[in-house]
Amino acid sequence: MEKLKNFGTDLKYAFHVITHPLDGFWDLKHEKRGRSYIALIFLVLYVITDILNKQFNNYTFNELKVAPQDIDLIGTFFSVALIVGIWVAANWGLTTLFDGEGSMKDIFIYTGYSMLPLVLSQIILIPLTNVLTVNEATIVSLITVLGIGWTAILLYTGTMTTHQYSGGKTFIILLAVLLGMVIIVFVGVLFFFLVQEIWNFGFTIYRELELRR
Amino acid sequence: MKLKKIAFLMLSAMLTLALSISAFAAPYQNYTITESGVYPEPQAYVPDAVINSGVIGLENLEGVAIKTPQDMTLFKANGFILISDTGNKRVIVLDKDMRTVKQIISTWTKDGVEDTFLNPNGLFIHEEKQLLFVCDTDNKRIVSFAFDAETELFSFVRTYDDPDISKYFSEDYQEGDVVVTETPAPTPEATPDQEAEGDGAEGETDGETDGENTDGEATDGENADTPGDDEIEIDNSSGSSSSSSAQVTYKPLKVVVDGAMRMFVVSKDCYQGLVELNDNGEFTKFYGATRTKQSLSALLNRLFSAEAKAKRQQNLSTEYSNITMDDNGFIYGTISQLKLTDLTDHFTSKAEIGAALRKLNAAGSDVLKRTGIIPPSGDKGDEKNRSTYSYLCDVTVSKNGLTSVLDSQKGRVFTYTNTGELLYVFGALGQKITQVGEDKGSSREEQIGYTKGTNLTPTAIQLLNDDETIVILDSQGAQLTTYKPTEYGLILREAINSHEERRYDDAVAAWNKVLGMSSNSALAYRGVGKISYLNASKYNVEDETVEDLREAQRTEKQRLYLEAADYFMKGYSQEEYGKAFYKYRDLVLEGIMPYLMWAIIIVAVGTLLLGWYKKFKRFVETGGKNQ
Repeated sequence: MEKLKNFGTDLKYAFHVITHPLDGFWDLKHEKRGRSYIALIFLVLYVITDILNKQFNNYTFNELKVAPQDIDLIGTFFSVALIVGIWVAANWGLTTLFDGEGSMKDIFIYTGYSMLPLVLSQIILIPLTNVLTVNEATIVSLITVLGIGWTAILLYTGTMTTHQYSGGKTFIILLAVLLGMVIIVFVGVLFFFLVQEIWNFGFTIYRELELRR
Repeated sequence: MKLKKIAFLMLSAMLTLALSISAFAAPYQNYTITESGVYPEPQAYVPDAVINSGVIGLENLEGVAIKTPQDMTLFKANGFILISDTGNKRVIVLDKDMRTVKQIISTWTKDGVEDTFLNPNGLFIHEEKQLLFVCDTDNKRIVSFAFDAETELFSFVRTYDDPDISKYFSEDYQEGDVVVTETPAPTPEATPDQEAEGDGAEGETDGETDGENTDGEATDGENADTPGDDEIEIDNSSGSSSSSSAQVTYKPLKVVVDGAMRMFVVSKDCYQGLVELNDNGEFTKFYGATRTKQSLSALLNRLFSAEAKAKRQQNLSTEYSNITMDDNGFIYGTISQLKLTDLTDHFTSKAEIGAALRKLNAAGSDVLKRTGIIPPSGDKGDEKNRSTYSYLCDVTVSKNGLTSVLDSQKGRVFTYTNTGELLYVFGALGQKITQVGEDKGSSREEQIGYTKGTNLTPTAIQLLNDDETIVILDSQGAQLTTYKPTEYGLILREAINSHEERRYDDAVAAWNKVLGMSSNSALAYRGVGKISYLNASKYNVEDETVEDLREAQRTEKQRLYLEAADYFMKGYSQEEYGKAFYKYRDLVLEGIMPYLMWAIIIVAVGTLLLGWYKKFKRFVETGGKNQ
């Protein structure tokens, strides 16, 4: 019962964070109000609402409704997990070099909390698209843009507050993080092919040896 | 890219499959083209009869077999079929049964001198005046013949000699400097909304053909603008470059003649569109030129560099390959030599440039509706290979607007509805088999040396028998092949025709039969959806005075709109779905609005009262001290 009550307050606090980002993100780190499991829940919720959107949004706004075979739950989950993972890694890697104060856990927490507006906008869109028509498509795009924009602002504020950067520095660091993500992906792909080559090489030797035995 | 590859594999796999079962049906497979690829459909047309020189007994009659025929037409009044036997410089008139020769037109006397054809090509029958027009290509003239109902013979009337179109290119044009913009064609639209209004919408388009041809195109110098504005689309009716204007020759290939005896001629290598002649064969103007696209940078380049000026000739409009006229006087033209980039643009954005099929109104603008998933321009090909797209060489239109176009590259016939949706595809190219005619006892078809139902070089297409039979003229094979609809084809046609003729119940029945044969037919779902939509819009709920009846009608109307939306979704038509859903939503809102208002009022009043009550309670509890 006590745990449930804690969970309730933690969840409620997330709404405080997204409405008062400067204060909220500060408290997440310094007052130890941040919970990584809450961040994780938001990430999972994002994946779930994304799938629900594709499944239940009205056909007017959602071409996938007639092609449910193209909706990929596992794929969405792993791509989100991968992107967040790379983001956290690149963020941490760069900010530790540039006097950032946030630990990897801090970064993960503020990223997770920042996803809340996206989740909310997607939840709102499910009933809304089933009432609105083409003529009101602007409302739908407005909500989508609001969700994305709000999340972007939260990510910016979160980075600034958690690492204790100035506004300009945060902006540059964020650009650098995006670049870092690209580099990580590139190196990852490179590494993958390299391993494949090595594996092939080893396997060829093994085959050769076996044939000559 | 990947999808296209898959589509290609599917198509080739389908064709192999089709060939392997050709013993039972036809040497091709019907298919439908969607965004994501090509899907097989039940056969709509199968080959019926092959008619060649032997079958019609030409060998016995004059001893000369048909050689490289170029065009064919139908004399609707009595069902005669006319073939221009180009290789033998004559026109053959076949009886309705296509087995007996009625007449062979090869010589006549003109001003006391015997006259003949030199490569006769296009044929046109003026049904009202019972006249035959023949394009005598290499004599640079059109010859007309009158039909005598008594003797059932055509007799020579007159020739329409070379109007000398080259003199209409004045010195002004020879620099290739003048750019004439055309007023943009009205964008064709077919929405459920318009169709719901029915009568009005169709009357409008019909009226256009009757009107006089007032919107003359700027073919003479006065109307020309100077370049320099950022006009991207240019019209080549104003002559192209110094080199081409000097060489403009009049070589009539195809002709149509309208009710006012105006002649519209496809002249060989004439990039200015159709040549319009008056009833005396004198040049009036160029008509319906296709547009070309030119990038802004190319336009700027042209202003400064002489080299680019010289190169401009490469950016000519494309010429028409064939034309036909429908019952309402609209001219349908096919364009074969389109550029790959224009075609890909056309298939992705339905841009007018790159359209292989055009429908021209009196003003010469394209009014063809293109509401289908893909535009009515034949196969959607691979963006790297021009030959995967179609080369349309002829078109024929039924009285209900079913438009069949012939692809000379793959020998296929694509049939579209009057709103440009693909109905079915049939036909294939044949290959000549070298061991021919060794066995004299074998039937004629085998002696020709390729599979029945295929063609070597298809050149012309025509509808027969109340628009039901389709006949293709094969030039190299020198034969006609008739194709008859299968049960599936007949039902599809029935569905379209009954929709066109406003027999909606019949149309729904036919569409349901189509769904029974091809359960994923998006076309059928959309067909039923359109009818539900039309039925729903028929209810005038507001006009009903009895309250109960009004409610019942509203419910029914609402149900029909929802049903229509559902069918449109099954037919993958997001746009039409949106419209039906919009109507449905409005009705629902209308229905619940009174309750909604009440609910809002009650909540508002309730909150207010609750607030007062709390205030009052606090007042009582504190004894009014805090007030």
